[in-house]
Amino acid sequence: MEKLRQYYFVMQQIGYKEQRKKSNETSLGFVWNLLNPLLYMVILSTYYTNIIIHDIDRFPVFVFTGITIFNFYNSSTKTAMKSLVNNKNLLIKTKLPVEVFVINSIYSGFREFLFSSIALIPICIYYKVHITWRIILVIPILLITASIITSIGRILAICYTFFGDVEYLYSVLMSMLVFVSGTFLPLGNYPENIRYLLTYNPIFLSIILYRNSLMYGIQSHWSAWAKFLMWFLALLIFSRYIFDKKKDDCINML
Amino acid sequence: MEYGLKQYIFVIRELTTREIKRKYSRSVLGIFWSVLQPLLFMFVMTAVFSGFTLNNISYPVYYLTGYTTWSMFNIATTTSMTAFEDNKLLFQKTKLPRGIFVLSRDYTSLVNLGFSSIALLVVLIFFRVQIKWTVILFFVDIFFELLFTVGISFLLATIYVFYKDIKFLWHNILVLLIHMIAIFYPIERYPEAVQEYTLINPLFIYPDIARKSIINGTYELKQLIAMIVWAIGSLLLGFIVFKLAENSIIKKI
Repeated sequence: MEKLRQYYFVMQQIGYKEQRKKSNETSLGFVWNLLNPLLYMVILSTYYTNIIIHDIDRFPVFVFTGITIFNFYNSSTKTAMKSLVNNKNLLIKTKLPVEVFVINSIYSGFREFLFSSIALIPICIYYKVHITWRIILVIPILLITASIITSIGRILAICYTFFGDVEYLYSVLMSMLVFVSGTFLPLGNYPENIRYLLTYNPIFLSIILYRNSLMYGIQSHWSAWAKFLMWFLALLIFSRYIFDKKKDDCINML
Repeated sequence: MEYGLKQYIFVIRELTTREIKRKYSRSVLGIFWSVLQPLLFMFVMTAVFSGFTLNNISYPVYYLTGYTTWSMFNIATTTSMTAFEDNKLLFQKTKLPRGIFVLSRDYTSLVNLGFSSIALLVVLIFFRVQIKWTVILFFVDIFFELLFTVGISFLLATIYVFYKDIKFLWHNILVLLIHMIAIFYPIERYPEAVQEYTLINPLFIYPDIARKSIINGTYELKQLIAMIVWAIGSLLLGFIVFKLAENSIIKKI
């Protein structure tokens, strides 16, 4: 129990240090967090009006929810990936469990997500989104999403210490995934053969479940939940396994 | 010691070689990646947007031509922003004309464009696109786009020295911009009001001229004039800002 408190304290300190560093470099970063999804929403709504909007009701809210979740995945995993290398010194010189750094990245990513979701409130009011009891489901959805992201983060962090290439490849992957995660296109807009694959994309699943409970207040198909939970478990087990196995090799490499 | 044109060019090429070596030595895939990546994107975009017919032009060709042209601007401006900071030592200790660092980044991006054009060529051949004489305009277009890019690069690089935020901001602006210049969908599909603004956007003009000259075999005089005007305007802006701020940069760095 004492150890837990110590780790929590350390995490807070690291988080504080990183935030200080971040806000020294980008006084704008904080505000931008809120602005980014809003801008996306405005631009995509404006430019794709004829192309997509006639299919979707309340497109701006649709986009906003998609973008915030995607950004959560994107920025958290990228920070987590580099977290071990960036904190090289702390890792080598202290007895901190290696995981702390990965978890910390996800934690700050989650905070950013919550912060940018503040804008969701006025948007929902403006577009007359009916909130139903299903909104409670958002909590487990977000928690499971956070866990999936943490698992991915662990795997990436390990890979990155061995292969620098991973950073670039992952960056390219994410740029492509924006278009194939249902961020601003509904499932129906995708061609037949893609749709099947799409339903296995964890980002897509997070977004769909999130939207269904928040925006539409409808029940999501059981298969969505099933796949979502499958990813959660599979990644958790796999990442734990890889992480524990390679942890020491990692430290040696650093 | 006066730097003549020959030495100037020599230095740019040396810096560029170093950049390219550094960039591709770390990665296993190397230069091959410059060709592969746009193709990869093209496959994904086509897969996603494939329900879409474009009056006799296949989507991959439409997309890739626009994207390759845009990409040069994208890479050049992003990498040249940090040009002064990265070459701090050379900046302070040599008498090299300062602009050279930015120019070498732009030149690197041009080289990168060259490699990606291989992918474009493959796609053009695969889809049996008829090449007409207007393809010469593509090279002219790239030339003027390069001038435009150089101007913007100088502007950004200068701002970056004083205000590091701009890198973060610019990256986000670019991500948003790509949706506004008819790369993924042709301009006809934009709402009317928006089309007007898009037509005067230089970042729409350069890819559009590229598409028209390669795929359609047409050109629009108005657009070509705009192409030149934007290039000159940007160059002037970039150089003026740079020259005015030069002394402050030296002090800051």
